[in-house]
Amino acid sequence: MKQLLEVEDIRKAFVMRSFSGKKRVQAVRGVSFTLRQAETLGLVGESGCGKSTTGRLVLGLLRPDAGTVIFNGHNIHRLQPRQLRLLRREIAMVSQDTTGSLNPRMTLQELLEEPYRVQHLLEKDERRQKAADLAEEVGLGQSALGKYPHEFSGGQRQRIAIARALALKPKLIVADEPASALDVSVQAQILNLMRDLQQHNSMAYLFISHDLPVVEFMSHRIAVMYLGEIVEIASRDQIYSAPRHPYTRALLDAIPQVSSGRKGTPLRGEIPSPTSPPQGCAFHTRCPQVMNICRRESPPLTVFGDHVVTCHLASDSDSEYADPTETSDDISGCGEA
Amino acid sequence: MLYYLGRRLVALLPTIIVPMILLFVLLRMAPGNPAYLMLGDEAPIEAVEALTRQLGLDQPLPLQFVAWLRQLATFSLGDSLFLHAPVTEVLAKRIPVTLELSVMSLIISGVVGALAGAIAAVKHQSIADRGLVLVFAIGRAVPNFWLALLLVTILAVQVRWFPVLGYTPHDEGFLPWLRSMALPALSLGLVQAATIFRFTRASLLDVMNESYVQTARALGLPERIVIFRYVFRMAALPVLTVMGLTFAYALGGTAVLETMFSLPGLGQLLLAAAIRRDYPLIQGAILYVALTFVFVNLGIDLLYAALDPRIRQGRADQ
Amino acid sequence: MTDFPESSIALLTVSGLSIDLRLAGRWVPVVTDVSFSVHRREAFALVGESGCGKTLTALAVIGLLPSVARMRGSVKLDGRELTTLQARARRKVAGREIGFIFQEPQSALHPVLTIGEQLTRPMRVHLGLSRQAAIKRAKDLLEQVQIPKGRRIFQEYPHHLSGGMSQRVVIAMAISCNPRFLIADEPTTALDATVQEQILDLLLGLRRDLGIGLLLISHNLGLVAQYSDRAAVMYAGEIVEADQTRRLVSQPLHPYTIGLLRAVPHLGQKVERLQAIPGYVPAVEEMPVGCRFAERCTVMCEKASNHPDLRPHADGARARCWVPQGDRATS
Repeated sequence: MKQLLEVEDIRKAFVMRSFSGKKRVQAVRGVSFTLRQAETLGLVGESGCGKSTTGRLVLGLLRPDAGTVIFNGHNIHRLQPRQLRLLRREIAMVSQDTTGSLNPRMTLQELLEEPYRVQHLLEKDERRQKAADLAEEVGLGQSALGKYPHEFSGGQRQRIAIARALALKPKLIVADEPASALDVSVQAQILNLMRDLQQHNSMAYLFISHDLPVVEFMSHRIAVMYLGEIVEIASRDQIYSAPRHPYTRALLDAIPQVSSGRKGTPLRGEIPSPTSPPQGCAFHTRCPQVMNICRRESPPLTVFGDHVVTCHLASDSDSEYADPTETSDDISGCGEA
Repeated sequence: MLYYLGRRLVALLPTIIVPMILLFVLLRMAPGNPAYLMLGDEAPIEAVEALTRQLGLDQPLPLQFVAWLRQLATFSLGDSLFLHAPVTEVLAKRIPVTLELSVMSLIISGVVGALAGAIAAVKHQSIADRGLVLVFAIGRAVPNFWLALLLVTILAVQVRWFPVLGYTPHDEGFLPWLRSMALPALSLGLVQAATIFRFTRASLLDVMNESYVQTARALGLPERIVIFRYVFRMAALPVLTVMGLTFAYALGGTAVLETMFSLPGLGQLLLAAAIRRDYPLIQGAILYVALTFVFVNLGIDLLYAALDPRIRQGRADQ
Repeated sequence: MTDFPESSIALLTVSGLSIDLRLAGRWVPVVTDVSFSVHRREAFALVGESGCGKTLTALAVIGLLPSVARMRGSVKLDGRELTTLQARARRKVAGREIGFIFQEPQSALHPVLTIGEQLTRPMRVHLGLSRQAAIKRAKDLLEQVQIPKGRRIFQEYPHHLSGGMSQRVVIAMAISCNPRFLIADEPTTALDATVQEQILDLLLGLRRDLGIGLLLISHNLGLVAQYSDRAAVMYAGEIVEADQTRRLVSQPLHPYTIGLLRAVPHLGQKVERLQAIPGYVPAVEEMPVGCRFAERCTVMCEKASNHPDLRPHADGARARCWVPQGDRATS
């Protein structure tokens, strides 16, 4: 089965200028993953890990300094403007900040019709009908169509954002912290909605979030990012029950859970600055199992079936020693949750 | 830091050159030949043409411009067509007066505007606040020469505290000089104060709502310290910027006010020169104004960097 | 563990606290009749979602309600009534007796003043320390909040610090004048997960070492479960359930608490759907007269139009519900 999305070794750095000179922020330092149709890949990590930047690179909103993003067989950064416009129908985005992404001067009706108008699709009355259908699909009543964004609650605004993303029936939705700004009870509603829509419309999600339990709930596979790199990718069950990277383990331990008691000692130190990532393995400054080699050399990609880790510890054990430039053909996603 | 300065100075060049080119072209496109104006209506055509050639005004525009640039390279601004003196000399005599006016009005606008703005912000929504807002709103709508007329009528004509017009140079005494500058400075300064008031009040209100001010209160710091140490420090920054810009404008000379009060300043000079098509003088004066503006702006940026470490050091990467 | 609300050994006692906000020209109640107490060396959590009134309650305790709010009720610290104090004395309580830790550490620190200045100022004001003495004490404080010694943080500005580091500085500032009580309003919400743990451990450690009471405000039940001794759940301005934390999360009584526990995704849960709580929190202006949760409640109840009181249950638990769930319900 052909992959819907193939991201290969993308890199992106930003330059920040100030009075005291230039600083180079290496946001994404070589990220690769694949995504199948109707599958959800969760991209999880803490601040500065580059997950949002990765999302924007996949959407084509940013150009990578190196590497490729291939969607449905096309390199999205090499497309002609006309093809790019067509691509915009296939990949959609849902972001965290609804106050920013919804035009406050447009009614719900207009907001839902906008995707069709922009792409010059359908006639006026067809669009009106579509807008009503979309509202229905995300659980907003017909009476809401005449309202403005500020008249809706946070959860409802997020539904609007999702409806807009759905409008052109995309194959892939990049969701960047879609539920993080919402209350717990509303978050659950939105996450449920997103899962239902995925089943109904057969869409793939790139689900970006810092909230590991949420990511675990939503995803078939999870990629853990740290300081611009992916340190581990596996199915969600494997990530939870058999994490191989010390950072993944620390992240799991750090989540305060209602049911479990307190786990060991917290991870020491802080996330290094993306302007000066550590030598060798980026995590070595905080790793409880750090070895000498970690300080010198970047760890290789190690493959255990469909579970990939970037860690010196892992490469010591029995595994297939994979070369970082090899494409991940054998990293097959699990079919369902 | 030096790198930044270097970049700014380089960026400065187009900011100066482009307006100068525009000025050069527009001046010569305006109707009126200075040679003709100099010699008067009765002059014979040949004389006008001879003078035109002598002044180099018959050359194609680009050549004239290049000639002017070459002159600039020798630090000369040429000679005024009508005053028969080097432009630099003329400017040197006029600039100090405008400078004095600008500084005085800066002080007045700063003190009045900032003080009133602070009172209004601290007593937000009270009668004092609303009253001040109203007064200064009117102030913003008032042109400075109208206020000047008002002040002259009351303070110079009715009560004779100040001269109606004229500039008294320093050597005739400090107090006489001050009296001659008072009304012009007040007219300019009070109107400028309206803008400073608005910015001060808005900036203070913004800062007072910030989280770090609440933290200061949560730490139990007395209101006095909260306002003076925590709020003012932050609120001052945008206000200083506005004050700097207002100052920069004033330095360019306020033609109407200076003419009204017969102050021998840059504005009055420029007005007269423009009427007479005194090209070298106009160009020289505008060049000065442009340079002043650019350098004052640069100064404001540097001041800002000196006061706000975030600008100086660049933000953290998160 | 002693029971609430009226206990003479309690460090902080809040009784009948109600707060109104002035919205569009009218006074609207946003917090209604909240009572709880916190003891020395105890960590007490106020849990709830946005708009439930927990932050306003905390501000009322420390005396920092905005001018658009007014309050009724009693707040006693070590038996001393705070609400009747004159403005100046009330202002002194903050910082000196009650410390406050805000949610976003980066915005809680003044951007243009050095860390040293911000850290030493409260001590110089409240404790009358000289600049040198304050600096010395500040260094000790920084050690207490586990900021590495090598870091010459006094000259730095907040924007140099990471989130975790900033929050440590904020904590240091809050404890600098030896308060007896600490309020932490969502202290880790803006921080990364791995740093969150460090900060909460730090807070609990301080509680133990300094013998103070801690009021922890959070929307995160997992966090509350791990880091508090007793907790109260707030909804629509009221306390709907209060109990020892361990029992609150394992044997909840109020349907809202139950709903919250179910709505949060847990690691290793493996479910297809989360049990969302249907509907939305009622707007302040449209607060129902009867049970405020009734609209969203999935439990059958005939008395919903009557406003339930906070009734006691077994072992000192309290629940505001006509049909509390679970074996522990005695009504």
